Amino acid sequence: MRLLKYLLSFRWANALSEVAGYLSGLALVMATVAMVHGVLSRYLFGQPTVWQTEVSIYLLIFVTFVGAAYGLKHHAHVGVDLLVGRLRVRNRLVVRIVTSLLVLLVVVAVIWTSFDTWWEAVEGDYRSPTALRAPLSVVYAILPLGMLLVAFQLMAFIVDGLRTLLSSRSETEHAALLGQGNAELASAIEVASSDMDTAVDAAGTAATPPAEPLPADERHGRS
Amino acid sequence: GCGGGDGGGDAAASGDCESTTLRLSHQWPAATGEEGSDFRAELAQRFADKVAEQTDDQVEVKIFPNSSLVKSTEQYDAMQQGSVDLSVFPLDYASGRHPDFSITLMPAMVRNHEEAQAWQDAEIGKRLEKVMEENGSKVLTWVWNAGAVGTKGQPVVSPGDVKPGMTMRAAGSYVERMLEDAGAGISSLPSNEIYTAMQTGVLDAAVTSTGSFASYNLQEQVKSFTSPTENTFWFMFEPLIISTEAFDGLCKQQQDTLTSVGQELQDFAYSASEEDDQRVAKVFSDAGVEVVTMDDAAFDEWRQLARKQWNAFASSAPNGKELLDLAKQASGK
Amino acid sequence: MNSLTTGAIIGAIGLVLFLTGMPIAFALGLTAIISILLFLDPDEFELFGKLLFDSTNDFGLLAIPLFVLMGNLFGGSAASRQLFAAGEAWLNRIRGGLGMSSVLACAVFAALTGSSPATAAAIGRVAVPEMQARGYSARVAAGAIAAGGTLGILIPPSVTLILYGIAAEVSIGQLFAAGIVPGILVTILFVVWIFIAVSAEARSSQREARAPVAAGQASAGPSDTGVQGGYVTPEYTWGERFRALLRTFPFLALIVAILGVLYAGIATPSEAAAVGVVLVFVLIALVYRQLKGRQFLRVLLETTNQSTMILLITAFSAVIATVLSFLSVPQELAMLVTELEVNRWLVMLVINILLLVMGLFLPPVSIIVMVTPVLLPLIVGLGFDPIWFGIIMTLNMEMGLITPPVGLNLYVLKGIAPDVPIKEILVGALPYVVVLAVGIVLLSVFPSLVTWLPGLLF
Ligand code: NA
Ligand code: NA
Repeated sequence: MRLLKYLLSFRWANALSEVAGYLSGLALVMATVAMVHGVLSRYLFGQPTVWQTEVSIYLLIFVTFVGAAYGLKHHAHVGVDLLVGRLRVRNRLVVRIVTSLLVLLVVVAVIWTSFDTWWEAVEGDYRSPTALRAPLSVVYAILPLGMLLVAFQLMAFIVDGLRTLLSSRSETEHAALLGQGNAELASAIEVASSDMDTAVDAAGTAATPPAEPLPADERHGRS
Repeated sequence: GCGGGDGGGDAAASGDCESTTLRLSHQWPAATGEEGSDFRAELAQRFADKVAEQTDDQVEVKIFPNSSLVKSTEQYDAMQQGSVDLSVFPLDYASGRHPDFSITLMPAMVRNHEEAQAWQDAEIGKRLEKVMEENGSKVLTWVWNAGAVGTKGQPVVSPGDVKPGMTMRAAGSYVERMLEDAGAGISSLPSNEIYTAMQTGVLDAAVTSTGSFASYNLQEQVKSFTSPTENTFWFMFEPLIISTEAFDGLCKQQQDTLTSVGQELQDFAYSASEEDDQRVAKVFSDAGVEVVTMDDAAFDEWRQLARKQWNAFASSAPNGKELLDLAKQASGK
Repeated sequence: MNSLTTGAIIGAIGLVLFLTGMPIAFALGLTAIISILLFLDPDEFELFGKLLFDSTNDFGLLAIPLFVLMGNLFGGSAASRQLFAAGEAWLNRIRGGLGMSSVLACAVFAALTGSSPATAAAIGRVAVPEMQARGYSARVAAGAIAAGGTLGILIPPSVTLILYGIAAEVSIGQLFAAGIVPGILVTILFVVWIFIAVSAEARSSQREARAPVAAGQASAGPSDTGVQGGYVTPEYTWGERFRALLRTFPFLALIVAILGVLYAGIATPSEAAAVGVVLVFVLIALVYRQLKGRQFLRVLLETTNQSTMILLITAFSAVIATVLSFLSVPQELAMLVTELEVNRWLVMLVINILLLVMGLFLPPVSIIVMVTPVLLPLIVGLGFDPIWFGIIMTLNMEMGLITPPVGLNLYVLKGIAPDVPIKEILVGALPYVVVLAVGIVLLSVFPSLVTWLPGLLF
């Protein structure tokens, strides 16, 4: 019963999204290494560079779609906050829940159609039309997998948002959904400040939501 | 309706003919009707015009040039899925899904236009059309394209001319592997980056169709050009095709019109491709590029080198062995 | 229904969805789904996932996360501080010299990163407090950084030029080369404006010279300070000047190395980005020892955030572009405008106004990927050079970065200088919109400023 409740809370999705982010970071490093290896082996040793480019592209696709869940959790996906930002907190949360449901609709549509593409590739043992002949069953899995993680994260947001909405008024502003930010500028500030001695308050633009859900291990103890 | 592929099926073939719009996708710049306009785009345009004329505008073929609908390599998928009905399509692009299609870009298999054109009526042609129909497409007009080798240095005529470490860009996985065997480093760049890559020295040589050599203005970059006017190891099949789904959705009369228009354009497709080789060779020599040709002895060296790839194809593609034997037969070897 | 009417309806759907505050990427996705269901066969819907995948399956796009990573590695280093200090040591005698060195530091930093907010944040964090401490008004200080930061997408490498190159199918290497001279030109225009703005302020106010608080904090250590025209002006010996310049040498050498890798024919733009990442990493982590494990991890995660944001917008835009193409919208638009037979420069003016309006609300990345496929047939049809137009569009996008209500660089300023009222930031930044417009006019009158260098290199 408690397990079921935990599963339905979708809180575990927060941890999954973190893992997705770390894996994407690793994919970035791997893509860099692969491409530099390609340049060196071609320029210094005249070796072919067929696999490096192609593998790097797949790693980039991984960062795009699997990293999307991490981006969602950290409010990286920029939106136009012009009207919504003027609403009162509670109304804003209602709008965010509704738009999150719309986003979920898009994500489910992507999962549905990309799953078909992937399954075709598995059944037909499709390969990329290059010298590498990469198995598309692996490559095409990235999109549905990534969007599935995004769907989980959305569910976590929506469940959390509904719960806060139904609970006391004072907690409303702590809903994870309200931590809307802009990745490009928030992280620009964050990265730029990483070596600075003075801590800068980037409130309002920082990517971190006001109330970050507790890390997974602490949450177990609480419930 | 729109798309043309849905509903109907065989029932439509016997029923009344309805107005329909078919989508034709290709990757070349839109036809201009002028000198230098890509003949594959020209073929698509003439096909659309003739079909409209002969069906009193009942069948409209809407052309999407320049990969404006889907990426060039994804056109076959889009045809299977129903978003695109027709295409002038380099068949090898779909070899990742249908490995048999690689027979149409087998290195040193077809040496000149005469051999290429012989496929249509030979056993290999019949077998290939059957393989294509099993995989959802039907040939309306046969199109073959000869490829050239352009280099920034000495011409590449025989495998020995490939200097160790020479970076080459080719199309077709079996061709790429053969060039690797010759000692080249392969760089897989999109075709619109060839010019810049040659300029910056990322590429030493490129193998692509003569038409592409001209349309990317590579005469400004290469020092030597191995024209396919005598022999070439790169011949690619780029037919005008219709998806079987779209074809089956047409009534009998419309089907007959499309088939006959495709046949009417057959001579144009063959002769335009040959003339293109002549035209491009002239463009390159006029630009001061050293234009050379490949004699039979050099071609035989390539063929020797290519056998390894032929065997790889025979053992990996579903109908590889049969297709390879028939292709060899057609070329008389 | 007429293709253009259909296109307008799709645009309206998109606008409404944007205004709900949904993430732009998914608003684009929903617009695509609705358009497919309304105007195309539901069958086409099957293509949705495939198109999304194919649009990211691109060699050129690979450069984006890598250039973002390179810029983020730099952003956390001492590069910005040292670039700014060097500019200051050399320009201290000139009126507005500190503001000018901020812009120059932005221009150099722009050559190390592909993003504008990253440039504004990196230089602004050092330069804004310093300028304020030396008596610059908040508006001049904030304006210089907000505008200087926009150079990030004009001076190569540039995320938006990569996206434009892919959408317009022109060489990214050529586009990068095309951005260099206009980048220098716009830098000069910005410097000229700072001189004018500072002179005007100096004349109109009888400002008291403020005490030289923390004047040397971020700079190379001036040997003396004086007061000139109401501003605190440190004095530097020639030795100090050369030492300050010498400290920027590793960074300047890196720029030369990366440009060299690109243009000497060692690598493609995507590969050059990867080489750049490794070079920057070696310099910062190993030579300067400024990067610890945790910081590196944070840089990677932030790069993931920025990359997935940009690339997801790109992917969903590609689906819309395909839907519009199915409906023949770009083709019909091109045909309609061409048939109007109005002067093509009038069309260019209208396009620029439209882009400016979009730039009020949307970040450059989304505008470029949405608009390029629609406008390109028209641009080419009117006889404009697509490379030239890419640069014009970039200048226009720079305006969008500093116009309210949605201007990424304005937000950056708000983030790094929370005490400066947003009104002051706006008043300081808005003149640069006019300066950028002057830049667009100059590049239109002298298009060779854009095409000369790519022509020379390629
Ligand atoms: Na830049
Ligand atoms: Na704006």
